[in-house]
Amino acid sequence: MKTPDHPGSAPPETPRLDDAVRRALEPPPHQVERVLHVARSAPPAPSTLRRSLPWAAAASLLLALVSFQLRTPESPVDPRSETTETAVLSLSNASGLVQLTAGGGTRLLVVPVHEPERSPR
Amino acid sequence: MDLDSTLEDLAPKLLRYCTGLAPDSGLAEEAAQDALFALVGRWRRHGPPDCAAAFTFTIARRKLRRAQWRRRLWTPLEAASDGASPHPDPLQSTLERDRLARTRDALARLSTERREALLLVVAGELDGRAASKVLGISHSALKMRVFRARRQLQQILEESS
Repeated sequence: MKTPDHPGSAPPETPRLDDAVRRALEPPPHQVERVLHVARSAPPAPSTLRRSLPWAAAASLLLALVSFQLRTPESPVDPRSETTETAVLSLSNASGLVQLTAGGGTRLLVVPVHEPERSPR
Repeated sequence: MDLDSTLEDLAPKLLRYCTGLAPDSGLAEEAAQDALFALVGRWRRHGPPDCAAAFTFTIARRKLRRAQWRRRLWTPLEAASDGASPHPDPLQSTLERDRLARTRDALARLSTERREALLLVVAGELDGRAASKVLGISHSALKMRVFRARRQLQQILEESS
């Protein structure tokens, strides 16, 4: 179907119809003024300094994180290897338990120990 | 074109478009205001958009759609007007108001798709490229919608007269 691309090529009643639509929806002048007034009251563009502040803050935070990370003495290691290096096996026969403790004294594992039954001689 | 003259050019067109789509004049004004406000903000921060009209109408359309989803109710388009008429003479004013009301009624009977397309091109005076950009459809699809909307509107008006 051939459709008109421009009002000039449209049927003769089209301009009248379009005009009727525009007139039916024509806003009162005071409404136009009100809308314009609100739009013009939009805040001005922030200054270069204000615009760059968030970037500067983000950059310094990143820098602080990186330097903190560099200063941390321990570098990440495989937890299994750390456990094997720092774990200390301590025995507490009194309660009948074996406690596996890490270097800082954190209890990692408690294993009940059953004394082997002695065979009667 | 500078910002101020762009605003003055767009404001009445945008209000016509919003009035044709919104269920009441308050919502139409709010959507137009928000869209123009966004245009000013964008212009002052990053310079003018590629097509100021497409930018503004897209924002207004999005706001109206969201508001309509919230309301879920479609009140007749009679409420879209403030009742203000450009004719000071009472008799002429009454006749004119009746004619305008019939046009608004006829517009309200179009499907949303056709009404949007017609309002962008006729009330918003957007060119084909900008209007199809706002609706996210091809130029030929837009032309078809506008053509059908005009034809249907004409039929409704003829039936009602």
